[in-house]
Amino acid sequence: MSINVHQPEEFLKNMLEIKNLHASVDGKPILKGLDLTMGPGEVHAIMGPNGSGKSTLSYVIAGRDGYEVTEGSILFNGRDLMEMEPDERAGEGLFLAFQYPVEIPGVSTMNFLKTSLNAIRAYRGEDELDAMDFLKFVREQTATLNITDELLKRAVNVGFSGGEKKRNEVLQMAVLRPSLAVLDETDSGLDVDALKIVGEGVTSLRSPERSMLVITHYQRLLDYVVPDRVHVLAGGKIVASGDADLARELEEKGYAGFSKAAA
Amino acid sequence: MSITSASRAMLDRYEAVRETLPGQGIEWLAGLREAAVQSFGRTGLPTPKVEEWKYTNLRALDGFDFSETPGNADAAVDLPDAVGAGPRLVFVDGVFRNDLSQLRDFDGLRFTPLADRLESGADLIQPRLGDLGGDQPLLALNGAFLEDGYVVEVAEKAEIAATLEIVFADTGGDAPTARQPRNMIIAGAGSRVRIIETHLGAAPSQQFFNGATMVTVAEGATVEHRRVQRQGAGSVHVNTVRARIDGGGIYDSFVLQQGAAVARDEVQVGLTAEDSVARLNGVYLGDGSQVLDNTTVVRHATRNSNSEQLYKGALTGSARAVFQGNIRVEAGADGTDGRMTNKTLLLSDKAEIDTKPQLEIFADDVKCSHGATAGELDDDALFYLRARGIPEAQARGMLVEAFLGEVIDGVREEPIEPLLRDAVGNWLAHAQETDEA
Repeated sequence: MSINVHQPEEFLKNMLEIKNLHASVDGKPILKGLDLTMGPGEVHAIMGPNGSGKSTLSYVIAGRDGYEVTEGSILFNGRDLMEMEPDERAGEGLFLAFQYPVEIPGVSTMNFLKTSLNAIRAYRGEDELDAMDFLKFVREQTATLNITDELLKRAVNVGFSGGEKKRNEVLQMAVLRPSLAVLDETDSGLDVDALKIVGEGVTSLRSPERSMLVITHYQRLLDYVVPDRVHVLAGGKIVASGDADLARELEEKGYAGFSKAAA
Repeated sequence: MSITSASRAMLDRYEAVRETLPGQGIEWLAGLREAAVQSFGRTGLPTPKVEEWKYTNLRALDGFDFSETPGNADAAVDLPDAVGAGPRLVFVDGVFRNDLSQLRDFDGLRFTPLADRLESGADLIQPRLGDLGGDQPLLALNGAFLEDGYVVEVAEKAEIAATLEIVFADTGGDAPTARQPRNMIIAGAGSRVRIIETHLGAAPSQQFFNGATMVTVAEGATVEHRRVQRQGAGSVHVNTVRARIDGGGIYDSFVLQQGAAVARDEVQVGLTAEDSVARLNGVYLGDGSQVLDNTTVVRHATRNSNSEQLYKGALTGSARAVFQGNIRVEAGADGTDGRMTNKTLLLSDKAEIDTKPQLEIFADDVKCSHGATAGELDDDALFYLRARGIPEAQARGMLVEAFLGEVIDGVREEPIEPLLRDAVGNWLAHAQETDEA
């Protein structure tokens, strides 16, 4: 027996709906009442000074142990994210591009990509891709990101340069095709050339079905991935929101005024 | 000096069965047995008071009643698939089983049970049997009983393409048993051979296995010696290998330790001439209350010899592993290169590793190193995999397999490789089931 529940249209408009989010790390409150709503296909940027809670927000969304939600809620496509394990969140279409991608000795990048994609397909009740189809699919994604077959054979992120690690994150995003990608400081540690490849790679993945939450300290990635909305995070909550111009304003004037406002 | 009750039981048993042991009527052999039993009688089985046995206690044997009947020559047994098309010798409950073995002729190879060679091969066998390891009680005990095992003889320059296989299977009767085979690998100059030795046992059986293998690697020969230890859960397994490597010779050893309640695989290598090489590698997978011991003793006796060791394992439950690695560089053995690494993944709070690397260096110009690590799975890596949609159990499995992959890569494309990867996979699945229960 199945029950069809009518979903109000307005409900479906929100891909991500964060309400009054409070979160602590080691008992210390970091997020203190954060509200954020994103629609499908929208790109939002969260900017803020160091220590404002940017990375905490990304880890809370992805479900990392040790990031405790003490109050509030996060709905992802109308479902309670807090009830899901990290791998279930990925299965539901969530993707976190890590600020510091993790090295995994002994697991080749290719095997990692394949295992991830097939795990997500299994979660959705889809068949596994066979080796040939998978290889063809990956090759389509690597071309624009300037990723070689040699790199795919290497162990995940082991011995990768900073730029290679970030390109590898974008490759994973291209392969896993999330409906919401959270990019945590994806521009950090990149030189101008690497930033261009990453920025264009991310931009090429923009689509009406894919929302992106770009967490960054600087404006420079937003020159490529122009956001629909920009939010300023300070003191654990959103203290200002605006359009892309706000990011440029922050680049010129800094966060000083906002930090004071949050205090 | 008093000896343990199991030691006493062994001596009683020897008296009871001495006239049924292989090679009756061979005078030199009777003399060797007598000397060995005298030697064992003075010390008995080692206890943790003996430094080399500090971490591995054989007291479980005191609970064994060794008043067994002789092995059953017709026992039914489930044998694993052969690893290839090579010859295979099968011993079931201590008895060589011609009906289960595949004896194939290869040029330059003689591969037979020891009992067949005690008389005909006396010139070759006798001097090597005499090397009992002096004050080592388990070798002495094995020398007293000296039951049937395998003998591999490879002629000079013969390269044996097939993998030689030996299976020691225990069907697990009601009564505890003791099996003490003596094996021999004799590789002539410039020859090459690969051997897989598998130890199997029925789950509940109380078996004491005390095997010994004498290896001689002549000039420029290569011996690859693989051992798979999957004895029954009630067993005590001690397997001692003594290898002597001549100039340019290579002894390449790999052991998988997975079975038995208490197990020790000990490899003693003498690098006796220039450019001799020992490669000693191993994987151990322990759960429940298992104790899995890997002990190595490598003696660099002359100039320019080389040894490499890598032992890695994963432990769960309250399993304990022991790694004792001893590298001894004799005076004058300049140009020695000796390296030893032991790494363990502890997958539960109660799992434990006792690791004891030892370097004894009496020469000046040597390169020797040792390293040991023990730790849990990397939380960051685990979260990274899970954030990519991989469920926790699968992600943990991937990380354990990746960790052990470094050792398994050393036997890449050998018949043992798929067997090892399956063993790791099955062990993980079982360990995770047990954790959830």
